[in-house]
Amino acid sequence: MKPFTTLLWLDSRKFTGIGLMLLVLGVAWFFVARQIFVWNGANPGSALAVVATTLLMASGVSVALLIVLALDFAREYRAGRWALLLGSPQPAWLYLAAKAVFGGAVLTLFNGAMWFIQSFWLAQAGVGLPFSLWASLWLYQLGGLALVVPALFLGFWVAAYIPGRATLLALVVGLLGMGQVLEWSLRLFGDQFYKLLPAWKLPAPNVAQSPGVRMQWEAFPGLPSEGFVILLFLSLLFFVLASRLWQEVEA
Amino acid sequence: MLARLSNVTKRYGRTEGVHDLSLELYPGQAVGLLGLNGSGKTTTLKLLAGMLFPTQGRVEVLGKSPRENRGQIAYLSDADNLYAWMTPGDAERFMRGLYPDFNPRRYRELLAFLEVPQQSYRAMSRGQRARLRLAMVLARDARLFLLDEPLSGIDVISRDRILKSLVLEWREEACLVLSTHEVSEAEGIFERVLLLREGRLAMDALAEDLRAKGQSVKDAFIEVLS
Amino acid sequence: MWDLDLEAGPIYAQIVRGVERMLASGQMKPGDKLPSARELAAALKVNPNTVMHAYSQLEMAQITETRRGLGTFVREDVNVEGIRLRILQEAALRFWAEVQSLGLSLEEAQKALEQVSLNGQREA
Repeated sequence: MKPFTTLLWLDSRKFTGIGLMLLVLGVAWFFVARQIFVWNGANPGSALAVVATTLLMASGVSVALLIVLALDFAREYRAGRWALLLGSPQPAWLYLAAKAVFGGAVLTLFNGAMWFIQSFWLAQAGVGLPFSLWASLWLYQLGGLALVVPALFLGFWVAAYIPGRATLLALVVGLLGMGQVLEWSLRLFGDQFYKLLPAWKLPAPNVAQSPGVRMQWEAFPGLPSEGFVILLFLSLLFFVLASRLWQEVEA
Repeated sequence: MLARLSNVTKRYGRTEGVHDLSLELYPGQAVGLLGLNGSGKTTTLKLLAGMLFPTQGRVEVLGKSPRENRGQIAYLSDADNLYAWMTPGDAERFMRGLYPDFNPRRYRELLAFLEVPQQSYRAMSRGQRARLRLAMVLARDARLFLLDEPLSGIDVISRDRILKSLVLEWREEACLVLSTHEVSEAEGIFERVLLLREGRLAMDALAEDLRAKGQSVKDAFIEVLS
Repeated sequence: MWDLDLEAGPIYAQIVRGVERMLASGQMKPGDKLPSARELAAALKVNPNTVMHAYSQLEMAQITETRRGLGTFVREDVNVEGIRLRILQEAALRFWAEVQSLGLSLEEAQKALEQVSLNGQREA
């Protein structure tokens, strides 16, 4: 456990500034969301504005965070820091797992906070968002997010083997390659196994005040659990692959 | 024998780092790896450290590939590569976590001897940075110590301290390889000198043998290179 | 006290000469302890193996002895007079070679020596 916690500590020290920024952003949004209700009144329009802004912000920040993580891989490589990591006798998967766990934890905390803010203020307007809805959606997404770390790594591995180190190009190639594999497997699994697994049921939000809307929510859609299985399977595969490639990396 | 390069060639794209290099390293030796800039010193050390893989030939450390045996190899890169926010305390935490052979007690002794201040890496001078990174490497109980240019661009006091700590940490079961392009200062601590020229081994001699012939290592360096 | 010149022959030989010279001049006495090989190596910034080689040479020449667990010591029965004479003779040889290369005679050499010695006394 010591090497793993050390790597998590290392990442948390590296991203302390960004963590603080996210915290400030969350707190600020909490109060701004309140102001929207104050100015506009507690009506569906305000609720929609809060939901839309929260979604936009959460996805925007999440993508930005992933980009920062990717750039960090590159920056570490250029700064010659991989020598510090590659020199230690720790197994390759440990580094990748630490990165994935750290990235996943930060994203989960941030998006969890965003959901909390949104459901807190929507509850004031009479809309109940069950926490399990977020948990469900997020868990589903995490399956895909886990793929990002080996994908980034793959890009840099390619970079290390292209003379002149075309880093950005290699990153794109790595991501495209990953996307292609994802698409193929979705098709394969979708065609073959779609009917085999039960759908991933999502709990519906509780809109107490307008029965019309509630009727629609009753038939709240689920997600195909095949997608989740595929993502998990691919994540595992890519982790094994990336761990193997780590052994071949030069620094 | 501790380490061996057999007919090793390393190419980067079209340029060659080292060419058909063969040499053996033994425990208890302090080896000076000499050569001008670009002569292949860093490539040789990185090959021994398992940071690079040979294009041709074989590299062995204690009978295995260096990457497999990286727990036995302490490599000091020539890059200024520590995290800017790290203090000597953070560096200790980092090393303890990732390197099982790291000896915290010796690390603290080295920090004291090398007079490394308790401040962040960012705030340190070049000499202090080099001393901190050296302490991190020397505090390991490794068998093969590979130090890439630990003396270059560093003030005289730091150099003196570094050389002294190298001698004090010298162990019979370990081999130390130190690369440098400025010979005279460090030459006393070398038992054996390897001279690289354009990626090839131009000379492999015992320092005392050279002196018995009335040459200093520096004289030999100049003679072979000119 | 230890004077090293990296261009003046093997380092181990210079260390041996250094010890002999300190004995001859009285800076070091029979029974004195020599620094440990590692200490001396660190002070001179030379390889510890080299210092150990020098110490083994000193032991073979019956100038020092190793006491187990205690370190290296100058022997009580060391022939200081003999060492002193040998060093003097070596210096005389060098001086005489210089005199001859200048084509001067023994008398002139003696005169020069007396002159130097007188100057030294006056300064002291």
